[in-house]
Amino acid sequence: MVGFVVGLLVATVQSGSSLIYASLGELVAERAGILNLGVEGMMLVGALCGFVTTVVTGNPYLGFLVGAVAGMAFSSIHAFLSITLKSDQVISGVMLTLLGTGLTTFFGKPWVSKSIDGFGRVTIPVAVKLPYLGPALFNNTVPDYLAILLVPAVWYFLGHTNLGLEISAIGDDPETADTMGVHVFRLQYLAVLIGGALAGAAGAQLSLAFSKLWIGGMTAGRGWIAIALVIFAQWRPSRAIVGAYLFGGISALAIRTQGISFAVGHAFPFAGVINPALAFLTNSIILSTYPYVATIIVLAVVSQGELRERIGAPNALLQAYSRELD
Amino acid sequence: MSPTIIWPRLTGSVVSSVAADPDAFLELRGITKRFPGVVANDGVDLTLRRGEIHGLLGENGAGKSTLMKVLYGLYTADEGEVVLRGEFLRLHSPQDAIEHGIGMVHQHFKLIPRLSVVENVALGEREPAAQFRGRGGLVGRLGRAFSLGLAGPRQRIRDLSAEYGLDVDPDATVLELDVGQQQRVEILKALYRDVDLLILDEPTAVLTPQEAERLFETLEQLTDQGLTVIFISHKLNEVTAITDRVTVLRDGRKIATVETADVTRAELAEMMVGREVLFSLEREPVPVGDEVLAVRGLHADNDRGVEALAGVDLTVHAGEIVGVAGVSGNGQKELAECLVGLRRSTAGSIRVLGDDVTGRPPRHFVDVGISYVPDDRYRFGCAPALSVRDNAAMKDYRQPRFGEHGLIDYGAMVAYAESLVEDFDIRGVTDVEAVHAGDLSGGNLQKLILARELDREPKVLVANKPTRGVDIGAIEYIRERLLEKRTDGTGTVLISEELDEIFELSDRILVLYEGEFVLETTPDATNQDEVGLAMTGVRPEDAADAVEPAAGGGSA
Amino acid sequence: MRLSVDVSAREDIPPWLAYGAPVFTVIAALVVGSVTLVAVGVNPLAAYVDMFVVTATQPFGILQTLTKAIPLVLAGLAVYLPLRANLWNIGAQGQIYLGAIVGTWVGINVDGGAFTIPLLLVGAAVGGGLWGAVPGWLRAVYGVNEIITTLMMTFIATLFTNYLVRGPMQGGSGNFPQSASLPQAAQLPFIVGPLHVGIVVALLLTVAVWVLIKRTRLGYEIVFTGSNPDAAEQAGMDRARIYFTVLVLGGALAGLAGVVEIAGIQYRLRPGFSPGYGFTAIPIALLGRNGALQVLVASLFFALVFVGGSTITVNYGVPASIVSIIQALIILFLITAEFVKQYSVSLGIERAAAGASVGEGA
Repeated sequence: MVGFVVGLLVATVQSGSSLIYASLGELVAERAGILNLGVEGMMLVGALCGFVTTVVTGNPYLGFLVGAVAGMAFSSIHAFLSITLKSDQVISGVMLTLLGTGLTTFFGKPWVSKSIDGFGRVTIPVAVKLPYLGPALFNNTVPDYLAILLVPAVWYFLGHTNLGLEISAIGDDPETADTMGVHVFRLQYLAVLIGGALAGAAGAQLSLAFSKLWIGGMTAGRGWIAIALVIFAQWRPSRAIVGAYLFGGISALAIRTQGISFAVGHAFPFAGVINPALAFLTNSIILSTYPYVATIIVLAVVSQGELRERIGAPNALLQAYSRELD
Repeated sequence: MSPTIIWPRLTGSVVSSVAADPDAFLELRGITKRFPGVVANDGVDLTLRRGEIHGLLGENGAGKSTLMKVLYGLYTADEGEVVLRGEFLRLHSPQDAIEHGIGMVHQHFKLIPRLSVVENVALGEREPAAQFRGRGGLVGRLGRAFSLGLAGPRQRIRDLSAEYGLDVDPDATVLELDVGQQQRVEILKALYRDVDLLILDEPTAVLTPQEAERLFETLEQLTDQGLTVIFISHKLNEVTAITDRVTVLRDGRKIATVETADVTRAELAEMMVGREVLFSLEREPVPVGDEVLAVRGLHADNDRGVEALAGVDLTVHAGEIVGVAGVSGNGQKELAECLVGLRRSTAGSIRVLGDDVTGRPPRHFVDVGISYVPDDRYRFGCAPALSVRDNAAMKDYRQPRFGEHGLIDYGAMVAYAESLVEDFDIRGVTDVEAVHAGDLSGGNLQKLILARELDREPKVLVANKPTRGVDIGAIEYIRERLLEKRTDGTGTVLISEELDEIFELSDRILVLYEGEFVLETTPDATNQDEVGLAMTGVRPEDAADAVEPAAGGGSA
Repeated sequence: MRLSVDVSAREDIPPWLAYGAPVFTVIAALVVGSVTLVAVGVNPLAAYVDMFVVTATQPFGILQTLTKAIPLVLAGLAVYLPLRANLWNIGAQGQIYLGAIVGTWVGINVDGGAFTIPLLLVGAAVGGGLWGAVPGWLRAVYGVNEIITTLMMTFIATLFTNYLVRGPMQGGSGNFPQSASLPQAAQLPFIVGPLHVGIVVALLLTVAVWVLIKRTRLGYEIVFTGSNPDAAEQAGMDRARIYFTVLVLGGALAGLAGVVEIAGIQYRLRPGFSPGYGFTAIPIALLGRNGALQVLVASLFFALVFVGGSTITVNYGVPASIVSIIQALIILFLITAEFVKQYSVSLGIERAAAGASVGEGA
């Protein structure tokens, strides 16, 4: 049992890292008022570019960097379309996912069978001996550690720097921010590019640290989960990491419980009803739906009146800002 | 004691012929600003003395906001100059204005509710953390971007707060503050940037009387410290209580600048509100029928959750027009919306022909025979992107003549739309299907909306500022049609700011001020001055006081 | 003197631009797409000719295109209808799966004789409709943004399908993740070649949606609400009812798209049976946003891209993802064209004059 739990925790952390990167990136973009539905495509772009770089140069650090830069470059299309052209952000994002998926599958074919060493494990002595948490948190790859460090970094950036303050202001009320002298467009670009860079890094983490290979579509919906995560986390970095590990944990659990079935004893009251229900609810595939279900529930709850103001989405999310001249 | 009045010039010209006041701190000379179809400011002169509270008085549409937006850099005047301390100013943006020491507190606050007071005030200033302060070059810029030094601003806010008696907690979240406190944060924003001149745009529109008192104390403290204040308002009581001098604008022109102490409220009201009657219409006596609309004890909140209607009673009979006079912002919008079902009242009842419709959805109001001509015609009156045909049938599309069994007979709709265009002389409609409502001019669109609402023989018609923003020819036409409906037996609630319209059309007059009817009378029993005074908050009982010289306010 | 870039809304859209824009964008997209073809050593011109011209002129190509258009039309309508009310049904893909699930289940388990096909169609519509009802209800009653909810429902649906074909609905020989095969009675008969009766369903529904929007009271309300919800409310139109209805109907349409793929071509439910039809439906609805007939035309075009894309995949060994790439490029360029149509970009030179500046205000 202990082994199972430890194994689960380890897998959770590793699975969650890419979610942390991607969701933090999306969080920043959305805080500036731009919804980026292209995360999945950007992750794949980052994954492929990072992988190719590592195969060619043998240096996973370089690969990781290139992956992030590639994601950022790809997201500049979304930035241009949404901010400068004020096009519909939904379409732009969804199409970029389609484009990213298509392009990476297309150009990635020759790289499918390659293998790399990727990021090795870096063990932190002493800490790794902690029960349960030790092996989960302190025996991972550099990108995993970086992901954890990124959370306070983003929190600090958004809440305790002038840039972050201005970004938050833009996402709530771009007109007021503009009146106060904030460069709305520039900062929106910055936010989207950060989002793209982190999405690219998320993908690179997958191909260089988590799986150490490349397959078309390898992100398997993580980009969409990251988008859901931002809402689930109510746009707060501290909650994003919790959500990332939660959602990551669910997918890790789903894999691990594939052969296992949960049931109560026959003598248990209502066993006839409970057991099939349990079997359904703990089925590994059904488990994988929980992040999405949870997000819908959170959204429904939060949309009830008062709560909307307290927590809640950046007010100007999805609105294209244009300075109205008289 | 005769008032010192500077008589208005009737033409606009670029060079001002008024001698420069030696005490002048700020001068606006001959400011003219035009928009398509209207001259918002026509050769306006304004001179401000340092340390005074200067009131800018006028109805909506008089040009007060436009003038201040010119001063604040949001607009550029077509003609005229702004002179500050003897220097000509070229203002292209609010940032320019702030740099020259001109600050503005808007009617709709520019605050981010999620952020704290200090964050709101310091936004855009890029105050870095202590170690980066004053550093130049790349390090300085990065420091300013990537750090946040709120300690300095926080202290400064505390200091300013103490100095001016503002009592604001820098770390409070704006969301948690009440309206009065939020306004003080707006004032702080300006003070933080070292303004010498503070413009307040209708500051008491959102405040309770107690909060307004508090604001006045604050303004006195500000001017004691040497700040100059422009106080834009339409509320006569307040302007006379707080200002040193008052400038009255009307229809884009300056009527006069007077010392507050030298003028009576009645005189100010007359300057603000009187105008020649444009045309006179025949209003024959019509036998008044049964009660068609009965409103009792109606309370309603505005969009911000503040009470806008504080218990109104209203009765309308068939064949009568009840004019509700008042300056907008006193509950008119909320009254109109309650009467058509768009807004839920918080207390009270509405009955139409005896039928209690309180709390029912808008559809019920439509079905029961209420028609609505809203003041915001593009938002509530039509779908600008849809055709004239579709907009003509907006209210009645459910009627059998437009189709049965859930279908629509667009041929019938086209015929109907065309008949409306013809009957109501709507210009600019070559093809009811090809022309969109948004393509029509303001006057013609209003005629279309009116046509639609009147043609259905409503029992009750709610018309909110039906002739606002409409050209002269259409205005006369619309008023005639309203009278025609009155003869047909419709009971009309006419909400308007235009006194001549109220007097011309109404059988009874009610004045709405701060959510209550403060005067109920008939055109024969009163005159425009009395009603005008009531519109600005002076009740008839107090009217006698209003013809005494005002007490004057602020520091001399 | 100040140089500025002025972006101002055009008063009128010149006709050449209005009609030319879609054409230019497609050409531009193809040009960019040719980069990917060149990168794998394929002559883009030859490939495009093969993809578009040959496919569209040969009888078999035409039939394949029509067949491919069937689910695309239905899915396109599924996004189009809510779009008229200004709602984004991003979740058509999920509703497709639900329709396929219910339709397949009915087809396999319900013995309806001659009525089997109508039954499974109805079942699919109900399934898809229910899947649209959840986001529809949330939007109508709580104002929850339908973009996110429909998206989430899509992933739940895809995963649910995986579960079903590995579990309760698993069938056929071996232990493959697929359902049992549809019996003969549940298979849509062929008309000619690969083209099956589903085309009739698609065409009928196109007409039905057209009638709904252009001839019924509900259609009038939908269009009015989509154009100005505030005026619509004032007029007594029930916004919540309309929002709920369009999302349920949209879901039903997408559900039909799902089942016609299964009952017409694949005959058993498999995970991933829909290669992004629900997402392709989004640009289709965008292109066809003015009418159901335009949706039909847009679907035919995208079907051509799909079929032509498969052809060059086979003929030139180009990876199948070329199809998604070209689709995505077309839409991205289309958005750009929208902008160019509406705004004119020009340079402005400002002279600082006393109290006035050029190109400002009225």
